[in-house]
Amino acid sequence: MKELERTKRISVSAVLFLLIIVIGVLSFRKPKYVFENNTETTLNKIMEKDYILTQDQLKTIDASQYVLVDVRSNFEYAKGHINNAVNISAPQAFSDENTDFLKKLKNSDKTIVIYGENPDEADSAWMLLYQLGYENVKILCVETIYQDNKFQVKDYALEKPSVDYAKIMNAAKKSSSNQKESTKVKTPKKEPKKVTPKPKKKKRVPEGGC
Amino acid sequence: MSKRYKSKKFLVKTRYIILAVILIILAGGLVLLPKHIANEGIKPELFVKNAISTERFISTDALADRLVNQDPSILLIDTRSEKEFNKFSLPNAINIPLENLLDDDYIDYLDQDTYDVILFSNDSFYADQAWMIGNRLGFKNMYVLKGGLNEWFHTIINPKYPDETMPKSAFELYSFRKAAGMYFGVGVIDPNAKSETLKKVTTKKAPKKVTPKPKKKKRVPEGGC
Repeated sequence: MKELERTKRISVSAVLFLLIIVIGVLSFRKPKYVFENNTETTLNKIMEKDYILTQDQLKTIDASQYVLVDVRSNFEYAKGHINNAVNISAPQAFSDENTDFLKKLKNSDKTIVIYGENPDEADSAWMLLYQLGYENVKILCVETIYQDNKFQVKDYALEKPSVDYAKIMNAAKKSSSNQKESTKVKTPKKEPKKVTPKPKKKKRVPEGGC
Repeated sequence: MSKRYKSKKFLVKTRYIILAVILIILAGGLVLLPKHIANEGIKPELFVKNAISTERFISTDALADRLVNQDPSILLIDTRSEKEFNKFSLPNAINIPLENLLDDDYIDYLDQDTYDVILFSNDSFYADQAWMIGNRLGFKNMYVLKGGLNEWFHTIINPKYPDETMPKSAFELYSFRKAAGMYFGVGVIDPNAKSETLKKVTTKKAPKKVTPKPKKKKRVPEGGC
């Protein structure tokens, strides 16, 4: 009799154990969106610079091989957009419709070509998609403006210094040193900044009490 | 009856083995569970929310104002290459080339809460990419200089004289920029008038947060003859 009771107890605990596992598995919810590429791979990708397409480069690709995505607002899109472009503005990137659309593209061999008002705008969308695991995304390096009742696409000189900074500054220094001594402006001294690393969160020690 | 008894006996005999087998099978099942990818940094939803916001951009005027006032709480970070940095950079800037952004030497500059980190490059493209990565890792107090050094040169160093039909504020802005440009070492014209307008404009534009600058007061541009 004693033996039987022990078996009963064991089986009850086994059932409970199983129940806990089943509940655990069922209640485990996978987040809808997960970053697949970590920051280090992203940074490496950024430095490769093969994700930037100019208009000329785009022309060499067959039209069936890419999908243009316009990341500006609906309003701007309605005013004018590149032919065949699809509008997915950044705030709506996670709507169900757009998710389905992008997922389909992710698994196809088509390239997603993003453009916005300028490459900066397209860049945030590109960063998001790349980190979410989209490998076939590129940025179209153009700026788009609506001017004279016309939608215009212009090439954009990315990260190109518009003037020779050092030259200007040296010229300015010379001209100001030619003037009176007193007009010289003190340039702030270079002093290394001290940076204190962020303190790690510590558990609060219970306060007070004598 | 005997059959039932037999099976019962068998169960009793092997009960521990059966239980162990069940547990082992379950443990094996854990391996089959979908691989959970650890999400480094913040969630994608928050990432988008931050990326949409234009709060991260600081205008060249606001930056010039803070530099002129010697705001101690800003930390300028140049994300261009070392070569470009050595040629020219903003005063007191620190060079962290974009490719070295995540190096251990530099991470303390970015992941801290003492300074307002202002990232800049020739344009705002690289700076913004650096910001995005910081955003992903949850760094606070990061800003991007809107338009980068190009914008800096077009507004502060070489501002455009406003048209006569433009409002008064445009002229005030112009004289502020001119005065700020003077502070950063560009030619001085009519120092008396400019330094006056500088004071006026800066006090108006000064952000509430700006910390006191008791010791260095004398250093404010002394353009007068």
